[in-house]
Amino acid sequence: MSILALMIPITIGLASFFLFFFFWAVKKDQFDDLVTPAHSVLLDDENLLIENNNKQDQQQENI
Amino acid sequence: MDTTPELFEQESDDIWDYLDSSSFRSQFTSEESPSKIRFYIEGVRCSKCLAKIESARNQYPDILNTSMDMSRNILTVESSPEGRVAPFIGKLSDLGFVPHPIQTKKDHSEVQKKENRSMLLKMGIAAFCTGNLMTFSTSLYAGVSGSIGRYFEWISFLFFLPILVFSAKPFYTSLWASLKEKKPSVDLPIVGAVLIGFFLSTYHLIIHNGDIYFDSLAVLVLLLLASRYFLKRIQQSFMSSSFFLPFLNQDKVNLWNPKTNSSIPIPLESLVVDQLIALYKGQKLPADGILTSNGLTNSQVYLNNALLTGESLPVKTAVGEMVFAGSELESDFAVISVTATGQETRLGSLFEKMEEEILHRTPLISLTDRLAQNFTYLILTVGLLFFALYSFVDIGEAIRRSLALVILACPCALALATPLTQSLSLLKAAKSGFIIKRAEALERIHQVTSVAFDKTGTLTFGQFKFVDWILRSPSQLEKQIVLSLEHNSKHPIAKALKNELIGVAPIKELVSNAEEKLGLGVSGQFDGNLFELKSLSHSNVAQNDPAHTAIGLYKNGELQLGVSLGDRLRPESKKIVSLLAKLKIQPFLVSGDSRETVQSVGQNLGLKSNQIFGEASPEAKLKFVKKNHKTMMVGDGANDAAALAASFVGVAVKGSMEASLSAADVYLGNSGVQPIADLVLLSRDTMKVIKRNLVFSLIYNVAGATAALLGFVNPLVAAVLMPISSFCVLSSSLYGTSFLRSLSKKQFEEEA
Repeated sequence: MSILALMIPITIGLASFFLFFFFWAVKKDQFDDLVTPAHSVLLDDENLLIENNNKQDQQQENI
Repeated sequence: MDTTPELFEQESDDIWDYLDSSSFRSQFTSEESPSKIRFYIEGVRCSKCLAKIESARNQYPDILNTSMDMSRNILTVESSPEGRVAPFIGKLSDLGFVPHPIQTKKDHSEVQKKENRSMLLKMGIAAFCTGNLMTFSTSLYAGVSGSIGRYFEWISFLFFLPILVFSAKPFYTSLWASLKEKKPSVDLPIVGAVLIGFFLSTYHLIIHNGDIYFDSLAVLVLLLLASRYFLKRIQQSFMSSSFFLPFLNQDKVNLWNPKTNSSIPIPLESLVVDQLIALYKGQKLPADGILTSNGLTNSQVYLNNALLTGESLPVKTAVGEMVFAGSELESDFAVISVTATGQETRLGSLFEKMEEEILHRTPLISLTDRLAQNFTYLILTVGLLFFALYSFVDIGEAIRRSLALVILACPCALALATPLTQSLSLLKAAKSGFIIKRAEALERIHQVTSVAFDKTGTLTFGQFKFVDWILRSPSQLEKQIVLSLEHNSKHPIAKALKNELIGVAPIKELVSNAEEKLGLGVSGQFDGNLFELKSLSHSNVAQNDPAHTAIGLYKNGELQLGVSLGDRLRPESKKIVSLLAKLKIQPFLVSGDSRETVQSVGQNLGLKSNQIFGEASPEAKLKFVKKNHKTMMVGDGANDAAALAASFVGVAVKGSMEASLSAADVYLGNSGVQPIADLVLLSRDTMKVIKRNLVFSLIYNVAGATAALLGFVNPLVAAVLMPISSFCVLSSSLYGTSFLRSLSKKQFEEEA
């Protein structure tokens, strides 16, 4: 049963990694607008709306 | 400025010009980014729309950047510091994306963003902990025991702590808020189950004997968080009442100097009582006042008061009469002596009244909350009774079973399914073009017993238009004669006729000696005959509807044919009114228009005379909806705004003023009143599904509670039963909302 002492930390570590990844995604605006990116991916590359979105947010962060 | 008639023509065609005024900018942009304006924008649903907006943007060098958030229908427009946004917005409006400026000061989007993120983080933590918890509790159920079992139980405890302290926080705060108002919501049994479950399980863990419920409680919290987050996101995607600020589309007024017969523009803010202002065609009055002059040409002054009073016809106004802010000048020129400005005007007081009504709305205690409240009391009573009786048998077992009762009786399925059903319905509604601002409105619509319709602009088109020919249709030549006669006339009738005959090739000089006599119509010579267009004084007038104006074309004094003009009913209005009656909802017509007109329109709609109220002032409308509780008010103008805010459910139709949008619960994005019936059917369906879920959830809870009292329940049973019941109500909601909708739609079509 000593294998449990190894397995349990590993599972928790793995889960924590995904949790951390989720937090990162939330902080990076990934869940703020779930509709527009699905459409703007179809637009031509220049002047992508989503790009502008990000630019603006970065500007805000800089302020 | 000169006052020759030519110069009267200098009207501002661009209705969006006000977007570039300094007073607008000061109210609608924030200090940090004065060049950014945000719009609530209708009709952006696909990638094509996005591409259209983008290519439109590239045509206007003044627009530096646009960003569209389709999940909330918000377009942010950034212009160069001195750049103009009006042309770009006008273009968008032409493309069919109706923009409404959002006042940034009351905009909560940043706060919302933060709330959403914290909600997401809470869900993330809850999911993480629940997932891990499950692995350990599954092994426990599978039979792990001894010292390893002890460890597993303690690990479960540790994983439950973040859920209890962090993830379940929204439930504590909303329970606290509802308790402060002494109206315990569905959060009470939820929080009760979570807290009691936690303490009971911890106690059992310490004494190393008894049931542990951490896994079931964790799943409960996670599912509830998810369903609430879903509803919240959907409600956020619709406009909020605080978005809109009633704004008179003007920031400069023309101050009139009677000595020099000229006008100079001054800022609206500096306008004071007793000053004279000049008004040109198409402009809206910025203040209340008295008409003092109609210009040097002595032409008639026509004002369109539709927004203020609901009158469909432009009103002929004589010198010396009172005129009110918000009216639009249809004729060429007028001079007004100001008697009241800003908040003091009639329009200002209407807006004030509307805001007051919005503030004093009584919140609805939802069916779910009411039921949960009663159910909680019932469970508490049963629990206490059981405890009192059973404590004589075995005090330890009595505590254990009565606490298990509280955990098992938690109406979680209920708390889960209601928000989900509501969000599905709201989404469905938004897809068919009507926007329901709050889920609460669905329940309100269900309770509505009567509907009060505004007339002008709601049931009718709200424009003075051609209705029909009387006697016979004109020949091509007669059409040309009519056009030629009306060519120089600025009268509303001339405007309506010219609009109707737009395809007819005009021949300007067809009629010679054309002249217009004030109040008598127009006349002219053609081919040696005298043609006249004047009011139809013949007995044939009897055929004509009193809501409409009739004029006749006379040849040498002999009536050739007549034209009926007026504000036309929308084609679907009558159908909707009769359908509502079938749905056991009493329709009323409450309009500010003249009594005869309203009476005749009402009769056309098939209403009885006790359902028709003409000459209703905005105050009378307000009184009407207050007196008739559970009335749905449907309207569009400033005169409806206060009534919309005060009514049980306020519905603003397409093309409404910003004030009405802000006051209403529901906004119909498709023109006309057709969606009213759909709205009623939708709310009935939604409530049907919610009620079905309630019944199911209650049966489950009663069964669970009985089992708990009899001592049959252990954590494994709870862990299995809870997800099953949740799954049942979830599938019932998903199935119910799509199936019932299509069914009732079919019925609706068959009936129609």
